[in-house]
Amino acid sequence: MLTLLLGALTLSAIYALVGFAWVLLRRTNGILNLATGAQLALGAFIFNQFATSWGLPWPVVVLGSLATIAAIGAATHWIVFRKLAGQPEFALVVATLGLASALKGVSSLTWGTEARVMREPVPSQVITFGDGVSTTFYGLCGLGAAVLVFAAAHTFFRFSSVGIRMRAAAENPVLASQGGVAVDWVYVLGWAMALTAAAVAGIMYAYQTALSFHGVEALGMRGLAPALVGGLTSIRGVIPGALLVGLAETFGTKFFGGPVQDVAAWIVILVVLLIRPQGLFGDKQVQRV
Amino acid sequence: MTTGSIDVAADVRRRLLGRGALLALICLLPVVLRDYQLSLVTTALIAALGALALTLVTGFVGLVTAGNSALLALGAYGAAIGAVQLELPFLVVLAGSVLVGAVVGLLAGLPALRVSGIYLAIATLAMHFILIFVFNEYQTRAVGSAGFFLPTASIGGLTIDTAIKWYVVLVLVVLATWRLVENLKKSKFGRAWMLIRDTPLAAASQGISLPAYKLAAFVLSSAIISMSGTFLAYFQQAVYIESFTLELAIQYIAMIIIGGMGSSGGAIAGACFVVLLPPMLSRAIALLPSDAVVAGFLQQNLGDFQLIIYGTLVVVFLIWRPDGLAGLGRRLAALRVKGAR
Repeated sequence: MLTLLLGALTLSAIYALVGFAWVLLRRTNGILNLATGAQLALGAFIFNQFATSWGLPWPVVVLGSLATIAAIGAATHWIVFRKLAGQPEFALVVATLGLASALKGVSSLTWGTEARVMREPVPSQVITFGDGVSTTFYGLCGLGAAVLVFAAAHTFFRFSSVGIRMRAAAENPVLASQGGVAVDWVYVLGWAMALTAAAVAGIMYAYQTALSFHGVEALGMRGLAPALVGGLTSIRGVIPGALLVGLAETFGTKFFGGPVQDVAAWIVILVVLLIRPQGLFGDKQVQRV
Repeated sequence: MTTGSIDVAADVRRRLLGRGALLALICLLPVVLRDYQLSLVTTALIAALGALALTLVTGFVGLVTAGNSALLALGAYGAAIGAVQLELPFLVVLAGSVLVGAVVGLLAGLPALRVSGIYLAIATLAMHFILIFVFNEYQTRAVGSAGFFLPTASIGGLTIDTAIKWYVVLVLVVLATWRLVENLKKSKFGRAWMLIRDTPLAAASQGISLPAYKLAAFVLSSAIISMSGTFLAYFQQAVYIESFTLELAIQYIAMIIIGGMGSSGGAIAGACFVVLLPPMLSRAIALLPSDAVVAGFLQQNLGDFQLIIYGTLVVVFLIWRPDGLAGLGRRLAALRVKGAR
């Protein structure tokens, strides 16, 4: 039972990271990014390219894949979404769908669709605490990564001047740009941060299962659930959202069998939409039009 | 500037000419095309039904839905259950799938559209994954991974078993749906929908109930897409879960973006473009020298290239030509008229 709970917790950590990516883009860039799944998979495969295919030393792997992913984020803004500035919201969402399709094609063309095993920095092992409560090393790594990302995000948005500028730009881009905030760079930073968080989630998930485009893409899409529970725009709200989804998925799989893994998060989304569409932590929508 | 009356006469003449050309094209196609090619056109016509339905929701009202593939699956599995398990006649199954499509659209749209438009994308995404899961489970239990095989469709005593018969049926259905969408566009509903899309605040202040109008568009479009799923199932006489992916849903969105959002003629053109592109690409690749490495590589990865092409076209059209092929056509026509005077 405790093992199960611990499993739910490590799963929640991964969901929190994916949810963070959804919320950050929705909040900073104002985009509901339906390409999150494809981009998360792309990030994980880029990491795998550095780590497994090229077998580079680990510091190079980490820095290289981070730089590549950040560059992709920047390119996404400059090439696509900057050109769509001022278009209605639904056009942006449709553009993310187009992006998702194109990225999936590119990834499948480059890396194929079969599952792979990634090179590990340390061998994966089962860690046991006290009487029979166990988890894997990489489960704990994912938990650590989530804590790190959320602590960093909190500090960044609360105390750093760039973080405060980002919040200002998210609140009102026109006023912020009048006040001397380089809104484009804020958006680039938003993409880079979101893609990085998503990629970290994908990598941790792949270390706990296996790396397949379908698997990590589906994870990225399901990450919409914790974001929605948290209200789509609240970074703090993602944490309880992720716990809820992690628990639902773990116990759903336990009681109703493996395939439930694919739908537990989506059922959470439907229930949230039915009961409290603005989420548990979302701002009340003032403009109800 | 010319006077109004001359403009009207020219307009009527142009419209009649357009209709004549369309009628000639419809009659000519079965004569010049071989059966296989005619079947491709029929597939495009079935897709055009879905694209017309999307025009209602995305083109007129400005809502994004990712549920197209799930609704197609709904119609197709409805056909499988109705025809194979219950052995119902074709028309009954068709009516049933329209009804079920509307009900599912209502269930998915109702919670989402209370809030704001963007939530429909979320709800339909959830609908997609849940419905596909359910159908997958059902298929595995009922027949296994090969899927369902459907009997030949028949209306009354008339069986629809040749390419030409299917073509005629689908031409009639597409024309009727086109008419419906065009009439709706000009009606009170169409005006309200487009006002909601362009200035929601103004629509609300006119006393238009936004959730009700949005929901009406989504329910109607769900019913039509489900119906087209049933046509697809009977036409291919096979239903299996692998064909209903999220990428398929994106393909339908590509149709209306490429065709031109809000234009029903554009939706049909976009559907033809998206459906006919892969076989044409395939033919073009076959023209390459067969020993070329490139040709083999292209042929093997045609599916991936399709994903890339559709995705890129969606983004490119959104950026450069938000009014799509229809806008391009209008612009060309305007140029010609200007040149004539």
